[in-house]
Amino acid sequence: MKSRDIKSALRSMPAPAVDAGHVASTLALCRAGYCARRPLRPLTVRELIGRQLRFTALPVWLLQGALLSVICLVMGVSRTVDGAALPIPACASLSAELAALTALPFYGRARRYGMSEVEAAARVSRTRLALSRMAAVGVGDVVCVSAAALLCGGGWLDVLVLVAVPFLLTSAAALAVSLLAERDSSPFIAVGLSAALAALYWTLAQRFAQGLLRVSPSAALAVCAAAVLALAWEYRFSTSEKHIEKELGYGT
Amino acid sequence: MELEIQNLTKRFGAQTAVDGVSFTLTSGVWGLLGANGAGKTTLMRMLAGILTPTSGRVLCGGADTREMGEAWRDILGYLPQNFGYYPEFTVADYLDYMAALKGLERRAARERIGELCATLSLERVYKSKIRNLSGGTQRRVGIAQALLNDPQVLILDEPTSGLDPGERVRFRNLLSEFARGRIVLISTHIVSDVEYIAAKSAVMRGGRLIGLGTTAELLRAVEGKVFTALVPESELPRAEQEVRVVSLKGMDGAQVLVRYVADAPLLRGSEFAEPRLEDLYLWLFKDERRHEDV
Repeated sequence: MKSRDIKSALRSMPAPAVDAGHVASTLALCRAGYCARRPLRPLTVRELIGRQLRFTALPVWLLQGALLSVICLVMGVSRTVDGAALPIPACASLSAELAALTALPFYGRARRYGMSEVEAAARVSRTRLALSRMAAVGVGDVVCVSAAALLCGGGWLDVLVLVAVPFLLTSAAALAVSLLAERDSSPFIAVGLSAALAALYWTLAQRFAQGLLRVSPSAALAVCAAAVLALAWEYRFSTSEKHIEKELGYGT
Repeated sequence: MELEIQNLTKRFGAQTAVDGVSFTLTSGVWGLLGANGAGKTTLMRMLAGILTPTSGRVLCGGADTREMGEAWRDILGYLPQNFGYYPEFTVADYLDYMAALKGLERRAARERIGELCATLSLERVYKSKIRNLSGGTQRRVGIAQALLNDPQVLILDEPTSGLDPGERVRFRNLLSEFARGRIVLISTHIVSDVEYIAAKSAVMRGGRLIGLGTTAELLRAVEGKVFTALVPESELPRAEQEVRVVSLKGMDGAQVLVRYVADAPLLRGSEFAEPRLEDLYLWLFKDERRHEDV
């Protein structure tokens, strides 16, 4: 039977009259159902980030505060002791790398302590939670990187090459390791890799600072953009279904 | 309130963990029974929105829970099988933290935490580090977090493991009271818990649903298959080889009262016994048991 025939057959069928009483009772039921539902309290971005401060961001901030204090102390001592002046570019790079490392204990923490499941079943979605945490922890990162930039003291290219690049590269490498390596060994591998990166950058900044600063700005920007893209992909992966399945032990 | 599970399937590569499970959960306590690897936890994780089904869907009052998103998770309470916590957390920190993730207002959260601590006898350990608490108390903290948002749907994976008998009785009573007008789904290996509080149960094996109904309905499968027999202690090893033993009870005169499930009475002097869920469990999962024995 063609659809045209079905339509004409349906049109020729006597349609029952609409009962106003039934319509009213259906409407009343719909209204009662709607009113009985639990209203969803809106959660603003500000509230979401604010609530990550105490448990997630504060420990990282404390670590970053300690790091800043040590940097200031070392710099202060080096200025007061004759002949003990530290290489500023190398110090700035190392500070940026250490700032990136302060977030390391926070990466993959839920997985390490078996909190992934309860967190994933809570109201706030994995993506919103990851973003709010990143924003909360990021405040401390911004402060640390700004301090390293001030320490660097040069122009914007100096800051880009000696501070931004090592910070972003170390962050991307540490997060990648914590996502991809086994649960127990990931913090150690990430620390090892980051320490190697820090040593490499320290050497480069100490011995070849002028060479580094001759890198074209577009090349430095491209490295930064690549690291930012890698970080974005890693954050996205950390909230993916595949990752949560791995965290929960499926397919291992 | 109704939660409709429609043809829910979850595959991990070539392996199917949950295979076309369909049933409708109504208000009350539901038990989910099955041996290890039956797919209970995967099913619960899909219901809780932690895992995405390969196919099928879950409808809450007609709406797809995946599309409901936050609205679904707002009315959901979930306790996973493995209770995790950050090492520096006290009970207060943990509940505060979970209240924040559940989107509770600070004042409402404080009140709710107070209520739950009183109900679950956590007041004394409120300021203690979770890592210093006993397994049973940690489990109670987990139950408290699941109840924080006053959920309409509560999913508990092995909630009674680690609780002592007194705590289990209190917990069962709490759940029975809590389940009025809500859906509570519990999976447990302690079959007696389900027997006491679950109005209906679902039984899973190999990722599939193999039984669904009230305890009385499910027990029909082992009607006339449960026996008790007095066996001399010396003959016990042979009896254990012959039948699937449910329980053993030492009696006077070097005899043992053996409760077993079988198609026909296999031991001398066997008498029919009233079936219980435990008998059904052993009957349904006899093959799994044998694999474990091997």
